Amino acid sequence: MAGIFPRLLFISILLFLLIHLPAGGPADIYAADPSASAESIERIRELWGLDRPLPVQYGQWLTNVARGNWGNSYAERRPVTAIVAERFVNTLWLTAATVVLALVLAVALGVAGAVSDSRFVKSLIEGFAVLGISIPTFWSGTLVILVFAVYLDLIPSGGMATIGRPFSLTDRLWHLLAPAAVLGTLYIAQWSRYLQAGLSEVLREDYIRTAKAKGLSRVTFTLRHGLPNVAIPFITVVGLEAPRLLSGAMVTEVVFSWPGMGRLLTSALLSRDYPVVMGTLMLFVLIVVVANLLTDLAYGLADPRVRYQ
Amino acid sequence: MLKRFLRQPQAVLSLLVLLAFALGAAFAPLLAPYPPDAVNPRDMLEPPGSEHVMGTDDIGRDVLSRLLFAGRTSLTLALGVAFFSVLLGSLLGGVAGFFGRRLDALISALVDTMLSIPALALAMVASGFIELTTGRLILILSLISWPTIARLVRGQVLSLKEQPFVEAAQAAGAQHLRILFLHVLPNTLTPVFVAGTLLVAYAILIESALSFLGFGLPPPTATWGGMLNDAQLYFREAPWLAVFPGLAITVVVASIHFGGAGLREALDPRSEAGS
Repeated sequence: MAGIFPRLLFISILLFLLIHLPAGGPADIYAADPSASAESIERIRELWGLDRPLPVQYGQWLTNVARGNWGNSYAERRPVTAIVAERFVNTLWLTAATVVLALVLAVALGVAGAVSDSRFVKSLIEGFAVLGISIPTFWSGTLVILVFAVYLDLIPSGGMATIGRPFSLTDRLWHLLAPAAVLGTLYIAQWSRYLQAGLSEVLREDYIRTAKAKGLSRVTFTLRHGLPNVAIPFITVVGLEAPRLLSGAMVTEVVFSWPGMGRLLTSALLSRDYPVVMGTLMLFVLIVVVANLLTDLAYGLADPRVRYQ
Repeated sequence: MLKRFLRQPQAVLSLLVLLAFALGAAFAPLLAPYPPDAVNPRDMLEPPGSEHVMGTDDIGRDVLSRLLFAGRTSLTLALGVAFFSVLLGSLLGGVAGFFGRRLDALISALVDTMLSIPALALAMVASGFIELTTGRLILILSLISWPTIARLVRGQVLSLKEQPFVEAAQAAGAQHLRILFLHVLPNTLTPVFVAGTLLVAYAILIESALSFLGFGLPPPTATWGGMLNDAQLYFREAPWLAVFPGLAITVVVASIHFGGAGLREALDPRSEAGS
């Protein structure tokens, strides 16, 4: 716990430097406009505090953040907190749907792989695992749109809702299906392989032989006795994916025009909207830190032998 | 060891595929049917055919030629990133594991910190505001990727330094750094080499993701991710623009993974492939 604040502080300094050190700045974008006078550009820099020395700027940013003020977006002239909060909810929809979908399919595949003796199922999982790691989401996403949205016209090609229709859960889930499946492929692949390997190991234990002797069916004892024993290390495997899931979500959002934090960061970087860039990045880091913390807690809950001081 | 590698058909096949890509990249100027940046307004969005095997893009550039030259950039970059990450990661991880205490605490904290920033976001911020060159991009991606190697090496060194041969070296009067570099680190080479192989795949993916999002090497440099990014506007009319570069990325990355798995099997004396 105690290590989190210094870590966040260090990261914020690192990111602040990465954003502010390179030559040029947001005012240059306005300077590219021929009608902007040197005087008005200088006024903009002053207004945004960009004319002050870097340590002062950082100190200003930090004290404001400590008071809950993340600044205003240069482009949208709205508080960063409001913009980022909207996008955070959208990214949460996408990542949550992805994790749920991947968990369901990975458990099904992993159990099938462990229960069946078929070489075919095993090599299917193995091959799928390598493909899942290798296909970049921006390519599989593009192909999915091309085949299922453009040629077959089965699914929407992007966005979060059908335009002109009021919000409905089915409509949202319908729009989530393709991006979640594309982003989830990697995790279905990795998790099913992990579960299959773990289950195969557990199924060789003595208590499984007892369960078999009791006459339980193969699927029943795999689910009731096998799965819970694999679940504990599996929590860590899932929990540690947070940073990669967020990176993947960024790309998927761009492919499927999903207005989440990834698309926000992309556009904010291109328009040099510094306050939004800082806000989005720090929220990314915060999500990862919280996810790691929750993983530890869940580990403690799932395994009574683990106790934290 | 070579025998054990050759006994795995999918690993051998992957190696041949990688070799083909490497040769294609190395001899791109000889193999490419057209100059990669040659704009030809008369042949815009030409579908694959006898004249352009993989078609042309929106300004009439030959896709196959660009693909070959992009392979040059992507492979050089990925190898560079893997090399420097392994170098930096081994050095810092080795020092952390070997000397322990404050140094270990400091380096481990740095590793944990780096790993809690989503890599792609960090790469975007680091490359978004500067004039990007291949060298700079290698530097950026290496500075982002070393922590995984450092964590691996640190763990290895922690167990290796308790081994009798380290004690023997100490008894012989060898100095700390000599023991670390001549006795301990060479013993981590096998797992590090396998991890380094996977890092090549990872670097290809992150570089192409970066290019896809518009934060990669500036035009006219051809990269696989950049070609996919260019394809975004036209892929409905010209799907070949999106199909071929993505296929190249997938095939190379999958081959590296299969090859890496074969390598791990071949290097691990306990694995089944040896029996």
